[in-house]
Amino acid sequence: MPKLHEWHRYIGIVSAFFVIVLSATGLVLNYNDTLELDNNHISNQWLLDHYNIGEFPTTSYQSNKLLISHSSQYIFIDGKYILQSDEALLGAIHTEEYIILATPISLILLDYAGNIVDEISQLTGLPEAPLGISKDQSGHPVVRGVNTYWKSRPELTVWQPLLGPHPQWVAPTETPLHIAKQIQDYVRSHEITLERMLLDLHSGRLMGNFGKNIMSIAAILFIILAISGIIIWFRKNSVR
Amino acid sequence: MKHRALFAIRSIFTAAILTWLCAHSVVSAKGVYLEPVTFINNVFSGQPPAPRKLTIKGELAQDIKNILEHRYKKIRLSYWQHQQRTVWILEEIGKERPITAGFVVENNKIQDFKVLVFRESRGWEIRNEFFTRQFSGAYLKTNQRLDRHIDNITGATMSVNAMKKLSRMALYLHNHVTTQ
Repeated sequence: MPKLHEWHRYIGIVSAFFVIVLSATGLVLNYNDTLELDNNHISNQWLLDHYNIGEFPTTSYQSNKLLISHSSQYIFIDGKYILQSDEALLGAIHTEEYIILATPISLILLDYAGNIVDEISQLTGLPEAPLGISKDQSGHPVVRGVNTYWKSRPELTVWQPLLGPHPQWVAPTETPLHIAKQIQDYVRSHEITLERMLLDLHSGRLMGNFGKNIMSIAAILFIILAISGIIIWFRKNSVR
Repeated sequence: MKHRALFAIRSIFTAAILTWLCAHSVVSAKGVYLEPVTFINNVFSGQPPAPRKLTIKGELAQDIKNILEHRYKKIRLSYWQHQQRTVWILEEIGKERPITAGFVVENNKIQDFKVLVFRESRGWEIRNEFFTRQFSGAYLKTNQRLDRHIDNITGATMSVNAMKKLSRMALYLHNHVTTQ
């Protein structure tokens, strides 16, 4: 039967690996803000697959020659990231100056460089939450409300009910494969931050429940190590 | 000797339990705290004036860029004005996601400030009154800095900084539209 100090030594050797992993990850995480770990994302395909980050549904609308897409919480023009939007995309139209995106809570005006010009919601003048978007015969933006269709000038400042023929509402279109891939690559690689990965490595969750249990066992070993160390130290002291 | 060993073991367990309790007392509180429309209605007692538009361009855009340390995400801003009182609903990213805040400015001083929508996973403590009341009566000095020190909140530094920048932006915009 090994003595206490021998157990202490064995546990120390087994724990060494975990001490290194926990100390290294803990040390880096302590400087999270300085190292901007939360602004850096994991793009490694193996890790993303490991995290079960699958394909995100993408909805696209064709407006003039531009393809406006929404996937996860991002909006893209021709596969290029433009802005964050938690809201779904209901449609997109273009005017001479702007691209107008309809979401269930607002209309977003973009210029052709992709800058956000304005966001019009019911708070700032939109008469109703949009259900769809289109243009009337004169090319003016028309928003579909529950019972009323509203038309406006391109600046979207003044609204009035649309009289006359109903417009054809903008409908989703298929996303070409190369753009769909571009979008998926972007969205998937923005799901997991370096901070998240290091936290999961620190807690063992990177390897699921198995990793979590291993780290829990390691934690118990550390406790045993500390207690046995103290007992050994006291015993040695008492012998002296 | 035995007593000393027991005392040491007890101390270690107490420290471990306290650490665990501290770690688990941190909770996330994302969400809409106050609908922007409710905020506006509260400020104007249910009768808000029509929103006005301000285009951020030229010198104005540059000054705002200096305050925020980046370009504001929109080119056109909505605001509400009644005499010398203006209301601004502004957004700024704390760490990853935008925080929406409402500012009431009167006579170049912040009269009220509320965090309306918080989307970040951490730093929600800025919604508390102990933080927001520090801005009450704050005004801009000539160097476009606040007239006072705003206490930081541990663990919410980026959200605090974002709100400090937005308060300066609201004061600056108020001054801009009321002196035009």
